Amino acid sequence: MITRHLTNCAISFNPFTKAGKTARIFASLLPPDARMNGMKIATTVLPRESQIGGIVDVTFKDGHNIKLDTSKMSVNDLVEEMDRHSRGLERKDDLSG
Amino acid sequence: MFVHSENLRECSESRPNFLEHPNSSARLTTARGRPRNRNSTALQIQMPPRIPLSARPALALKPTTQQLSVRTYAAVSTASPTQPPSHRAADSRKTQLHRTYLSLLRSTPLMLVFQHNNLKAVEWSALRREITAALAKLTPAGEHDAIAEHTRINVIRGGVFSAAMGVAEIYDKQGGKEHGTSKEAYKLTNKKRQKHPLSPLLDGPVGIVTFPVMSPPHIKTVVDIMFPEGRAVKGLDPLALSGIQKLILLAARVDGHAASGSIGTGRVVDGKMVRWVSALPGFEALRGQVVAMLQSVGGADLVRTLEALPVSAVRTIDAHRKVLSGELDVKPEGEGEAEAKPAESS
Repeated sequence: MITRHLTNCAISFNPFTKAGKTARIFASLLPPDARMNGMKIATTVLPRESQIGGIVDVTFKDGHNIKLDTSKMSVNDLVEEMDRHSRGLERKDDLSG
Repeated sequence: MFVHSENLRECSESRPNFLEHPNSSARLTTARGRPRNRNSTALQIQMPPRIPLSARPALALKPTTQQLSVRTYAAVSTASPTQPPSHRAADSRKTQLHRTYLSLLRSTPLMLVFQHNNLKAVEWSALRREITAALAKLTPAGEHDAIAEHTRINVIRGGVFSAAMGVAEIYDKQGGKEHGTSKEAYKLTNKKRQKHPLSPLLDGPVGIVTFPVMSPPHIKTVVDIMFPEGRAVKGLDPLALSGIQKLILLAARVDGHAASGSIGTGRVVDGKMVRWVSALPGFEALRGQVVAMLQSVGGADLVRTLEALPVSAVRTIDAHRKVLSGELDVKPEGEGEAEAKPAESS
């Protein structure tokens, strides 16, 4: 996953359901020095009886915001969604030099 | 092997061009330095040795000083004479981990399950150091704290842990007779363990903290450092602080351990409950509260009431002993009983 264009990640999940797995794994895909490089990461553990599986809310460098309910998504789907915008930003970076 | 080379030497002496064995130049002598079998003519006229050259060409043609590199894997050897048969190879790493996890599950009254997101090695070590230091402060200096010593943080392998959990929660509950890594235990738990409330938690990078006994002060110390609500504990190592940010408390498993006799009845609680338990005072403080409460609500009466039964029993038995030993000169039998009765009623 391309993470260097992310500035803000808010991840919330219910750990007691299978639906929370995608958001949990997404949290583990962020690199070890993400916080040191200025990314803001907030993880919320939802209560056990919560109906929500998982929500990932991500803000990119250009201010674009993606908020997804990951209950029925796989990790690969989620990464693909994120990378789609990140690749556009990378192309912009390359062209501007 | 040695016999072969010896025979070869004998042959190379009698028929030098038969087979040049690289070892034939080595002098095989006895302890006295005398060549062996010099006088045995029977050997000299013996037929060439029957070495199955086709079966072991490498041994026959290569110099024997070169070591044979045969790679073996521990997991390959399945049958062990000292181990009972198990589902996977008894000496494989997975089986060993399974045993470790099963023993943890059976022995710990409280196990915190957490997720660790890409902690660096230095962050782990700083975190462990901080926890050890904080736990050491709970007991006076110089005293040995067994609880702190046996409080452990382990990073687990989810799949193996899930299998071990199935054995601890399902197989043990059924009163399974076979050992934990047996085929039977595997077959009976493989499908069912997917429905256990802990099983969705065991995906991804997961670790556990295990406590040897239920001790709220120790739990509080660990929870406050590792999973702070709001701000982290002051004065921590910056490396430990950055590690703490990457830890997420998911759930805990309580009970279901051997000491309480409740094997197979573990319960899963969420992080909120863990924090509530950790906020409780220690057992000493709780006992103190009970004593104080009893004293304030006329505890003297209660103590007398509680003591009444054992005291009366002791008196009765003592009276009976005296009657039997003849200390009390009671001739008619009815009087001895009559004496015991008032003691009983008092």
